[in-house]
Order: sequence, then C-alpha cells, then structure tokens
Amino acid sequence: MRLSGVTFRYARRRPPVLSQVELDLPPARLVRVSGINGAGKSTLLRLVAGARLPTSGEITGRPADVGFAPERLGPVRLSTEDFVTRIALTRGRSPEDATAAVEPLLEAFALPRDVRLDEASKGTLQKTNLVQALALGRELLVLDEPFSGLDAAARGTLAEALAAALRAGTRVVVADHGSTLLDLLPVAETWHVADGTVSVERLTVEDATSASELTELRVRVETSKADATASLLRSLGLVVNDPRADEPRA
Amino acid sequence: MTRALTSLWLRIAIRSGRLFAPLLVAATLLAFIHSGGVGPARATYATAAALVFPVQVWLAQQSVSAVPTETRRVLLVAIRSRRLLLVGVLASAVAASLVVAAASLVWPWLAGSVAVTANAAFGRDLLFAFVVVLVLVPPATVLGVLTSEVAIGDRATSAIVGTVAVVATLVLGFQPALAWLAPPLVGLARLGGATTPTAPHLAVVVVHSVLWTVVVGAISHRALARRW
Repeated sequence: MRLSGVTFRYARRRPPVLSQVELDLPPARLVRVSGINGAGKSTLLRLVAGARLPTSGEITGRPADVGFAPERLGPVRLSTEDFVTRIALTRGRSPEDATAAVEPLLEAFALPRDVRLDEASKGTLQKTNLVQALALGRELLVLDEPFSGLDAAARGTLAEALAAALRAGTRVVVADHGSTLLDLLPVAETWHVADGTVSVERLTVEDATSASELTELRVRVETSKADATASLLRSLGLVVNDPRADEPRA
Repeated sequence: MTRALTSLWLRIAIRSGRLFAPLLVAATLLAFIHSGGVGPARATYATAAALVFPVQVWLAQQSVSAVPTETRRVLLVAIRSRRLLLVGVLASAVAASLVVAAASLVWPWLAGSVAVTANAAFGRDLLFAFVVVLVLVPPATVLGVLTSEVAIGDRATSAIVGTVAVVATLVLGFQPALAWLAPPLVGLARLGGATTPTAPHLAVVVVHSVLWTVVVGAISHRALARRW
C-alpha cells in the first residue's frame, strides 16, 4: 500500500492539513503515528483507512479488508453486541460469519453484550470500537488512540490481538499520543506528523543506547516457517540471530 | 451489504428518536386534512400529498443525519464504497418516507373522507392517488438529503435551508416558466383540481419528478462525497 503525493485540506481556501505525503505500508508492518494535538494524525488515519479522500495525490494498494477504529465512536441506541455484529454484516458477511468474527473478540475483551452504546462507559465504548475494527481488519487495521480509556487487562488483550494480526500479515497503523504502544509492542516504524508533513522514523534495536536494554529470547518454530518468521521479526525491527548463519542479521 | 447497511441505518435513525417529530406532524396533518367530511378522491389525495411533502423532506433530513459522524466513517470503511453508502442512506430515507406515503394512501379510507363508488371513475381516481403520493417520495428524499445537516454542516442552517427550499418549491411551482426548477408539487395539486387528468398529464408529472430527482440526486451525491 502506498500514499503518493497525498494532500488534504478541509476547505478550498484553508491551508492543507497534510501536504505531499509519501508513505509506504508493507504487510505485517506496525506503524505508530505520533504528533501533537491538531497536527493531523486523525486525518492521516482516515485517509489511510479510506474514510476520507485525498484532495490531491493518490493512495494505491489499499487491501480490501480494512478495520477502522476512530478516536471516539458516536454513541447510538444499540447494544454493544448488536452494533458490532451489524457492522460486520455490512461488510457482506453472512450472519454466521459475522458472529464467528465477533464472538471471540467479545469474549477476549470481556465486553458486556447488552449495554446500550449511548449509556456505555468510556471503556466499554472504546472496547466496542476496537472489536468492530478488529473483526473487519484482516489486512489493514487503522486505530486512532486505541489505548485511551482501556484498563490494563484490555490494553494487554489489545496488544495480543495486534501481535496476532501482525503475525497474520496485517498492516497495523496506530495513533498513539502517549507511549503505551511502545511499552507493549516492538514498533518498527513511526510516522511523525508535524506542520502538514509526515516524517518516517524506522526504529531498530540498534537504536538502543546500551546492551543492557536488550534481552535475548530464543524462539523455536517449525523449519518450514523459519524464514517467514525471521523476516517478520526483522520487519518489526528485531535482530534475528539465525543459527544457520554465522553472524546475526539485522 | 446495502440491505444490511440500510437496516442498520434505519435502526439507528428510529432509535435516535429523530424521526418521531416528523412522523407525528405527518399524522397530525393527515388527521386534520381528512377530518372535514367526504370529498372527491382526487382533490383530497392531491391536497394531502402536497401538504405532506415538506414533512417528507424533513423526515429525509433527519434520517440522513441520524448516524453520528464517526460511526458513519466506520460504516464507510466497512462497506468500502461511498456510492454504496449513499445508496444505503437513500434507501433508509425512502423507507422512512414510504411510511408517510402509505399512511397518506390509507388514512382517507380509515377516516372515511373519500367517496367510495364502484365505477370506473373511482378506479382512475385511486390510480391517480397512488401516483400522486408515490411520485413525490423521490424528490422529497433527495431534497432532504441535499439540505440535511450532513450535507450543509450544522443543524440550524440545515433547518433554514430546508425551509427555504420548500418555500422555493411552492413559489417556483406557481411560475409556469420556472416550474421545472422545482419538484412537481404544484403541478400535482393542480391536477387534483382538474376535471379529468389524462394519462399524458400524469406522465409529464412523473417524468418531471424522475428528472428532477436524478439531477438533484447527483448534486446531493457531490455534496455528500465532499463531506464524507
């Protein structure tokens, strides 16, 4: 997926929020979007998800199965379960498929099923928002401040869900005002939004200032999956010490 | 997909309570119109259709704007097509409008305000009633979409623009040279008063309605695409 020369402005006479943005988003890539309030993070996420069209430039290669969780879900008078299931149905899934996609996520997030969204707490509303996005985003997940309003358990569940999505090759773009994402997952790339432009920082473990900040883990995988796993780990910015090679390969 | 979207959109609109006020006003208007005793079917139906038209515009405005912005964006990403989203939204607005249209057709029978006879003239009047009531649903819907909060930007301006649009419909309708700029509201009301509206007269009104809906629908599509 690629953003080429993307410019976006809300009105013709207003200055662009984003100007001439050039970005690549390969599969299995976790990207953190950072920037101060009003920098244009949410606008960038809406463009990536397809919820907004660029004023000029083009976005190519957007996969078909996109899940989008905006910063705040609008409260409607539907129950949490009804809402997420019906959103899955609009993707063209059968009722059985929609339930199958939603059910494990409802369980994982311990989401109360019969709470009305217009009466739900901030945490419940956010969990509902994430469940609908995770149920749809098999190939691309775009999450705007997903950790906001979540308790520690739900943050852990979300981190596990994102790690599983990355393993399956899903592109994941997360706007994270704080550093929650960095604390929970190895982030390969940060898109920093400022002054209408987006700068890309690729983070690797070489950025760590001392060896004491690194931990070595041993991973055992089936031989047939070794290369795919190694490339996934490298895409996350990790050093893979392949015993089949003499030297560690970054 | 579109059916699932329409169903979800309607459900949200109904439960938001936004459709309640227009439906109540429509019921009040129909009760008032049909409370004056028995009258000729054509004139009764034409008057009711003309008076209910602004309510149908209001209903479409409310239906289109019932889903909060961020939820609408989630739906857009889920359905993957702006065109399909618009079709689903229009379908839900039409469905809401058809409730009023159905009430407009049935109410005179329930209230006993049309003279029921077993002759061919009454059959023609009944056909006329169907055309009159249904032909105004599409233009009322697209006019409601075009003047909705979503297309205009805020609720107060939407209410003002919607009112101006309905008044303009009446004013333009009475100007023979400019009547084609507005939905065929006045034309239909006049047909209701005519002694024998012929098939060509009705066909002209239907074509006028269809063309007007297509043109204003395309403008509405552009207005919404810009905002969405």
